[in-house]
Amino acid sequence: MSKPDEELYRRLLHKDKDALEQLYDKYEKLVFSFSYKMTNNHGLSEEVVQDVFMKLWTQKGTYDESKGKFSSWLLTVVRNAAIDLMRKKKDTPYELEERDALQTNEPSIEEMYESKEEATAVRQSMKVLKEDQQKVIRLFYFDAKSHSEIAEQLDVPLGTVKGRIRMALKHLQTEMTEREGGRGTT
Amino acid sequence: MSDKQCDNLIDYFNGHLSGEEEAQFEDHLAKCESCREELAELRELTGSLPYLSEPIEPDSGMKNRVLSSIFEEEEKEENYENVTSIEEKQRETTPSRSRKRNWAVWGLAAALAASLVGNAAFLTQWSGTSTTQPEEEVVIDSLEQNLALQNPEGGEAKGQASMVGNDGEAQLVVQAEQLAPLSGNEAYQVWLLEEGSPVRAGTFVTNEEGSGAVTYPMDKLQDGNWDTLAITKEPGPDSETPQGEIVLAAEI
Repeated sequence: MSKPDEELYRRLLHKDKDALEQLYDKYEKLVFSFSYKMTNNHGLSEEVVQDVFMKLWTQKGTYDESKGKFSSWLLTVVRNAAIDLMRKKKDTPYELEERDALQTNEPSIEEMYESKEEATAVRQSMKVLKEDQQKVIRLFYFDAKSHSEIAEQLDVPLGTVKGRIRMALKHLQTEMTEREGGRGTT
Repeated sequence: MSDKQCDNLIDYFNGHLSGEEEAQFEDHLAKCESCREELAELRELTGSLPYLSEPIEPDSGMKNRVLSSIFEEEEKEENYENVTSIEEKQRETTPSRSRKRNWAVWGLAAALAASLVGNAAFLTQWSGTSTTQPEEEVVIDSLEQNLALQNPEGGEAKGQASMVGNDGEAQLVVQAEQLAPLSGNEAYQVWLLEEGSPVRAGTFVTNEEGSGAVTYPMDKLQDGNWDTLAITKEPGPDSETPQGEIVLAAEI
């Protein structure tokens, strides 16, 4: 089977607008939802989407297959773009929106995630984690806090932050492996 | 010292380091195996986390806003981008010299920066087909576009590139003279560039006087908005990407 994303990316390098549109259609909701998870703001999330696809189009971010799956690479670009924008807006505080108000018409998980099983496994696994480990992951990954901010919010010494992050992520991974591994044998 | 750098891993991952700190950490990373391993592990362990994002519906019309602004921006900047962004890129890449891909346009841009802006208004597009309307003085019936080739660094060499329509088939005709002699397997290679990406568009060798010519059927190429034509001296006739210096070039 060919690799459609990689193929589209190659076409995009030749300024094929249709290829950009196809990638956009495929990843719009995931990129937007992930941006929202990080920024908690609709306007900023749209800016992230704009920034990410602009980077793709102008080749300021370049992907090659040595960097792994296209989708994983894209999500790294999204996270970095969201971090940049959040930093820029730090001086002009933006509104954090209430999640509850936004639940209407949301796309289904099936529609959003290509690898549905991975998505289901990570969601279920996250719920198994204790609240403090969930918090570590949120502060570190989604809020992209600094080392010292994380220490402060967890109320732990600076030197233990890395270990805490690692432990929480490892725990999550173990839970995920069990879920993904168990699939098919039941 | 290096222990202290190891403590910057989280801030590096989360973009909290200043430009200078980041560069220092990357130097450290090159030397510190345990930091490299930790970073790789963090990337691996966080790979699935984006899938925790709850699905959120964007505001309506986002696709249209995003794509049209990308394409509009592109059109707006087309004439200027080559000058400004290329200079930036050149600065970025000079120290490492590792990325070769866009070499040609960077080198060219510096040399042609002055003339580029002036020419911008006259730039026309070459597509792979012969639908371009003749815009310059028509010398023969089917001549569609004519470019004078020069060495961006100056020098004796000169040449001409023409797009010649022939029953709906477009041919690129390149002639050059006063080129440096070739030795061994060397050959001159014509490239068409779009945004710094070169594709091969004809190979030739010179005669004793240093003159050479080549025709290339444009239908062999995918359609492209070629912005630059360049000729390089290559170590062999089958370089897939330019290896040698630019000897002649022109903005399209």
